[in-house]
Amino acid sequence: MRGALRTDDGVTAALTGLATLGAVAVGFLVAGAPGILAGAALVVAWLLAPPVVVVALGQVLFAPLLPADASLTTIALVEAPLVAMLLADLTDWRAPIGTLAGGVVALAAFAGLAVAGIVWLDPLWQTAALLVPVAAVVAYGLHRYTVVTVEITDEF
Amino acid sequence: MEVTRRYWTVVVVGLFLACWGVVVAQPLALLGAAGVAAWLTARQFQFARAVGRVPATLDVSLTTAPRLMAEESTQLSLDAELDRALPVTVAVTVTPPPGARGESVTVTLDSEERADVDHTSLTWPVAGSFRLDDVTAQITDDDGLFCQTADLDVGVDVAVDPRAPRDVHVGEGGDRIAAGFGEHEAGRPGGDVEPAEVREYVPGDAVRQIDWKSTARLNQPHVREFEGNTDRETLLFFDHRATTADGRPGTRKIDYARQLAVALVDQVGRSDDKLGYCAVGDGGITALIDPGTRADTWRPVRNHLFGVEPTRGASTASEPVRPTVARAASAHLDSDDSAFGRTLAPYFTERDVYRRRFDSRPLYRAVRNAEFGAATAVWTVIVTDDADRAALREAVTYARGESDQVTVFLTPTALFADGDVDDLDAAYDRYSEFEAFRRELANLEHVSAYEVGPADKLAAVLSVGRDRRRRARA
Repeated sequence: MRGALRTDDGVTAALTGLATLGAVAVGFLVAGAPGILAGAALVVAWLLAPPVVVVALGQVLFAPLLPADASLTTIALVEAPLVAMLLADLTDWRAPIGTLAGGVVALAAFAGLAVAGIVWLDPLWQTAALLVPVAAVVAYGLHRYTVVTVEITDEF
Repeated sequence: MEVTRRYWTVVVVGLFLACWGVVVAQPLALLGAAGVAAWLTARQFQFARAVGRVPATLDVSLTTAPRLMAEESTQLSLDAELDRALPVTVAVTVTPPPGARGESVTVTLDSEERADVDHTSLTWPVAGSFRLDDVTAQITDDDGLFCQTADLDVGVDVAVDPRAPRDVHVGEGGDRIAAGFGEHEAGRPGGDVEPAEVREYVPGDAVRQIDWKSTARLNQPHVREFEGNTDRETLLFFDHRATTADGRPGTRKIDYARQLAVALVDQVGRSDDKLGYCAVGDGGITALIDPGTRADTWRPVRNHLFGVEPTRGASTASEPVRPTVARAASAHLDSDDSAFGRTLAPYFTERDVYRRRFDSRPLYRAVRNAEFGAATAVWTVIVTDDADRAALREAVTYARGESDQVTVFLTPTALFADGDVDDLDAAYDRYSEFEAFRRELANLEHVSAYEVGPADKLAAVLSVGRDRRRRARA
């Protein structure tokens, strides 16, 4: 979990770098010069910070550049390079198929839940209130699965 | 599963995005929060899968010397190997048991590594049986988000023998005994209990062997022979009072006594006899193990013997007047009308005072309170020193009334006093007194008494006696 300058995983660093350049291009398409500046900031972040932080920063930088009534297509266009960055980071190149599939499923599930919330629930806080407990329950379930796997009985 | 600070940092980033999206009414930030949640979930899933594979993939072996002496150091090798590389870092750690001194050893296999080995040096200050089985595997993911610790079912046994003197002499009057003490043949026809056969009486057979029922039935004198069996119970009384600390470190009375007692326990274990154990300190009984079979008692008795040390307590006791002496004095005082005689007379007339005095002596009290059981044959073994001869004499007298055979092993104080060659004359005199006491015990019916001590010191002391006799002849 390091920036591109310090990571040993060259493949992931290269792919996330390409995704960052894609974010620069998307930024130009969506917001013009400010979009390029936001993309450039992401490039710097890609060099120094782990991909998940770059993705979070991308949301923060691009959100003000989009109009309040931006269509889901526009949002999807902006999100595409950021999602690619996450998938590249989640893929273990020693076992790419399984890890990529796991990443795709997780992203599809949570993104689907978020999109459903945005579409069906009117105030946004309800969507946030839906996402957080679901993520917590899934994390706890995986914790229990691990505990049972290694037959530890004193952890709850 | 434990999560790290880095995990919570990412969680905070996700929560920030969700909150910020709500505040600025921007769905893009909520999608970002969903992306962070998905990333964490996928990472956790990868970690959980990898942890699940570790038990079947990881092979850990420990190698060390299985047997060594107390205070010796040994190298512990930890070898960890994965059948295949996993996307996690596995750190296998062995923590020494409380009976060992040394650092923990850890072998770390990162996600690119399949096998590694490391060593540590362990010192074992305490004798006993130990098991190195505190082996844990700590599994962490490459991103440092999760951690899981699991106990591994791996271990190795280490037997630590006490530092024991090498020149142990067991004998009588300086002569080493040749045969093993306390051995008995299980298959020998003799005076035991399992009936073997009835045969015609021949001259030389003991009258008590005659089987009167068979004789009446067959109209000829017949004797019944019995076959030895293993229904024998050995009761070991081990004295570790303060006086057993006499001597130099490593060659104290208790060190010699311990070595003899361990050999005795091993011998009893080999013969499958029942073994009971009673350790006696200055305050009384310090350990009591009821008679049981080898599986029940052998290891606990051995472990206690390895760890037992002299207690600290009042080691001097006034020598009570023996009953025979008391009776003689009482008879003499009966005819003494002087003030001196009248004053002393009450002290010699109350016979029970004698026994009550000994009840305060730990060894005597332990023997007296022991349950000698209902085995066919009870063998009582007392391992002690000659510091409290009167109490020992009474303990032996009581024990022989309760058991078939009593064997006493004594560490003579004369052989353990610090001093140089100039003190040998005095040591010889004290040894002569001890020898007279040992013979007194050995002359009791069903009692054997042996000396246990350093062979070289005994030889030096006995050489003084030979010199004296030579000078006397000259």
